Amino acid sequence: MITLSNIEKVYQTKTIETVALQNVNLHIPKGEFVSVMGPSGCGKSTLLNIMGLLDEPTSGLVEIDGTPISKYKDKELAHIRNQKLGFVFQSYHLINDLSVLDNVELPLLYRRGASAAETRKLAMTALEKVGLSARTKHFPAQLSGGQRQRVAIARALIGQPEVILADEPTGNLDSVMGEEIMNILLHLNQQDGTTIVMVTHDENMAHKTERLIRFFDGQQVSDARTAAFNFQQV
Amino acid sequence: MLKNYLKIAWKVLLRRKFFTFISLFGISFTLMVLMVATSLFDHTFGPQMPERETDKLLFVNMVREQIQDGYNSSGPISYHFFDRNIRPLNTPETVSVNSMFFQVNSYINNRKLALDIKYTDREFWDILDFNFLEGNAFTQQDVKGANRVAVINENTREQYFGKAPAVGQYIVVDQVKYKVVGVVENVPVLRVQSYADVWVPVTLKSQEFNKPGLRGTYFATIKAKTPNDIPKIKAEYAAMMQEVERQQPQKGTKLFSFPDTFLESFARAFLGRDQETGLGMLYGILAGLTFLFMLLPTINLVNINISRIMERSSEIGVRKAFGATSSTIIGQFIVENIFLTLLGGLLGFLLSAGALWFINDSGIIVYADLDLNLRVFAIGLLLCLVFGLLSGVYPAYKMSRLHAVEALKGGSK
Amino acid sequence: MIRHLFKLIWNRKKSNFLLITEIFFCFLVLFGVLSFIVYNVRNYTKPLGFEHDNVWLLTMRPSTDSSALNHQNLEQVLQLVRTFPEVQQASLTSSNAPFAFSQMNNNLSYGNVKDVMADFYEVEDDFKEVMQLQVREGRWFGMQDNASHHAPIVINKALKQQLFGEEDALGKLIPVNDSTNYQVVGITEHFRAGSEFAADEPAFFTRLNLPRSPNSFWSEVLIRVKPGTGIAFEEKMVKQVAGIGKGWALEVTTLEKMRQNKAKLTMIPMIALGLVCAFLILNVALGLFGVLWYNINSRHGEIGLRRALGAASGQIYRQFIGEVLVLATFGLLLGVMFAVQLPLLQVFDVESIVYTVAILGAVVVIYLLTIVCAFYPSRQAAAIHPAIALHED
Repeated sequence: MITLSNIEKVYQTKTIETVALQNVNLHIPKGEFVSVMGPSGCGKSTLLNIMGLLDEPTSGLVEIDGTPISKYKDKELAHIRNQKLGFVFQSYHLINDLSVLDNVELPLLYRRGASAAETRKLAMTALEKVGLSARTKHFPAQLSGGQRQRVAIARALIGQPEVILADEPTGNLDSVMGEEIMNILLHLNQQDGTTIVMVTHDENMAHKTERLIRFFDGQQVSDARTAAFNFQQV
Repeated sequence: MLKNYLKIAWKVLLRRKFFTFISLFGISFTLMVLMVATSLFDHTFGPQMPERETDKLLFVNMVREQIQDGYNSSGPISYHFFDRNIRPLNTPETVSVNSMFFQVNSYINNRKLALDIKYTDREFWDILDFNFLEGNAFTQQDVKGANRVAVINENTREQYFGKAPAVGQYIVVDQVKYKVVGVVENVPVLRVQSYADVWVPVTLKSQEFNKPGLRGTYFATIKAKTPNDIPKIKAEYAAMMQEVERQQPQKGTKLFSFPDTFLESFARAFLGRDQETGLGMLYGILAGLTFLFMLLPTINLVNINISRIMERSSEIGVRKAFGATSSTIIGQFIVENIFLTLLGGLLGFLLSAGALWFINDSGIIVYADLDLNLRVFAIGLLLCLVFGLLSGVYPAYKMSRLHAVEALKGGSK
Repeated sequence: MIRHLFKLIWNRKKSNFLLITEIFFCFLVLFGVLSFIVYNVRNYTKPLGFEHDNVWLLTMRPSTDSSALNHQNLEQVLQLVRTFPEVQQASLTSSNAPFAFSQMNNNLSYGNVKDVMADFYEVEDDFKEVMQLQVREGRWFGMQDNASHHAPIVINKALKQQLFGEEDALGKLIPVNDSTNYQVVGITEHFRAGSEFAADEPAFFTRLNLPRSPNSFWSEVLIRVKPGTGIAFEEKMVKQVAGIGKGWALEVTTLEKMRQNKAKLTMIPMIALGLVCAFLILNVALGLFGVLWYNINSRHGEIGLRRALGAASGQIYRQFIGEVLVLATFGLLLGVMFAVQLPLLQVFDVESIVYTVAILGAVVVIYLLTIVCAFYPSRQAAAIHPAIALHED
């Protein structure tokens, strides 16, 4: 699905050069639930941005379904993000001036040929999946953190992406709510076969996924199957 | 504390140069337009040469006759009417009769001068304060003897004699030769009561003096002993008019004529109804126009101020977190805003000085000499403060309502 | 997408309220000033209906009351003026000569059409030649009118239109009072004597017959002089006229000069209003730019998110321009609702086309203004790197 080879990312300012990623090689196959862990500033988010085509590596190769992305222009990258990728962020990134339903519909706004009625139906289905179909008319400010994150997940779902990239989706939530969100993600992975890459700080959450990659100082230090994987295999 | 506020205000202004520029541009141009308007108003109605003691002066410009079937006729008063009815009034200190100005031609060296001539009595010069550059006004003897003498203005002197002195020289106006006895500074045309290029004795028109009827081509200027006498003069005049009305041969004729102050006479000409001077309405209209004009720049400034504040929400958050109350924050912002407006006002003064210079120079208004005197300055300052408060209060209120936590996070959107 | 933008602006109406108000007032100001300018420019482009070059106006103010004497002198003055080789034609006129500050009007009624307010001009037969009027139907005044039973009048096209519509006007009688009727003998093209900016109002001429009006006096003579005649002749003429009318106050001016004075009366307010309006709009434009800049900059998170969800940078750019246009549309809708009341209620006697042009003009200017103001901030927003935008918050 996503393949990274020899990825290097260097942030350059006038005075200093910061190496965010170095020599990263990764392959994320279809249907996998991967978590990425590491201390703050180790380059996890940069990695996610690169996988999400929001950022370009300084050097190295990113392939989506076997095609290197350097071949694409901005417009085509936007199209791929829209068709194949879904995002969930730690701080939800909901648009406060839009209702829950409008927020969920947002990705389809950028997809050609989606009729209003169809969009509405898809949005309702997505909200049902995250258990929020009763709150469609509410505005983000009227929801709790967990509810907001569920809206964000519904928004990531609506385009039926092959991959969901989640940047600390439970980072702002208490453990009960975090659990809820995690369950939704797991369910998605298992029922719909959606590939999920999740950056997290939480060992517990990480161990629920099937593969755990650890980062330190911009470098990949380990990549292993978790107990959950073994459990699933059995 | 104030010093601290001003220091912050200054820093903020420097930090966001573009916003500062927009604000200053808006404030200074708005004030410039208002100041030019104020100056024009002051120039027209304020105590200026030659009507300096406006609080003691009254003017009679018109008499209106209304005959029973609604037929109206109005115009300046006749000499006859002045002589019979206004001259004998008891309360005024002095009264003067002077004609409206007429345009006449004068030819010099194959050049034509279109001059405005005004016929006046000697009292005219006593009541009004003209600035004489040379010579003096004509005397009571000149008026009695219907001597062909003239006071001319600076511009006419220049046209006729260049820079040379004119007193003692002769000018020919409308085929009549006059001896120049005095030269005065130009009187702006907006001062219709005294404006002219050439002033000559009223007795040169004595053939009109016995023409009966109320209407003619004359104005009366009345000077009171003290400003307190003004209402008394008005009352006496009104009583006199009632008597004249009673004596009209045609029954049911109504007469309207009033001694008005400078501003009243203007208001009456455009807005007056019967007894009403229309002065209140004039003030209303002026205030309305000012309000309408200031509306857009104010909304604009409020808009900018809100953006400016939101940008500083973290500063507000910190202040609140360390115990500032809403009112101190409102206070701080209003001080800042007034500081900014005064800065804009200063620029506005410079701009209006330029604009006035341009208006004077272009000759759009004949003999205009608009300037920024203390009165205009004071009004300008007042306008600045009103503007600053107006555009500062709402954003400050909005700012004070920000919650400390939200403010620290960067404000609610 | 448009629905989405409307929704965004609508939900944000509280914080956009001031911007909408600002656009609303800006529209009203523009509409008012444009109406004024369009009205004047439209009038200006219409023909005046006469030629004023080389025409002088001699004004005489007699000093005595003896009307018989004044009348006699006046006849002599006219005789004198007409004999000068420099003078081509001369005609007495009522005090409302072209471009004068005086006006005379009267109500006319014909058949069902009641009370049409029309300017009227009392002129001599030579007036047509002096002012070089074009008579398009019928004829101008002439000797034959001496014998006519009714008072002959020549009307302009505007009066014909209002009084008679498509009907033929020539020969028609218009009652003045119980004993007199006007009879239409001719129709001119335009006649807009008030000023170049005057509307094409109804007007008519009555015949001034000096020999037949003993003891009456007219104080103004229009004189057409040969091209190139100057001050020297003017002085000579005034001296000789003064020789006839002893003690008369005389004044000569050219219609060109009067035209300039009259034009000033419209031009100065128009320029002053234009300048004030331009300043207000520049002020609003700068303010709008600043506010949009700030608003767009404070929405980096949203921009990043939209990019992540698959918006290309062009779409972001179009979204922000679109938002501003929608914002302007709200303000304009409100403004147009107010503005259309003027033509609907006929508050002023002005053709609706003037308002239509002014409304369209104001709408176009405001849209352009907002696009220009939104252009740069939107470009900047579109250029933001999504990864950075997402991490700012």
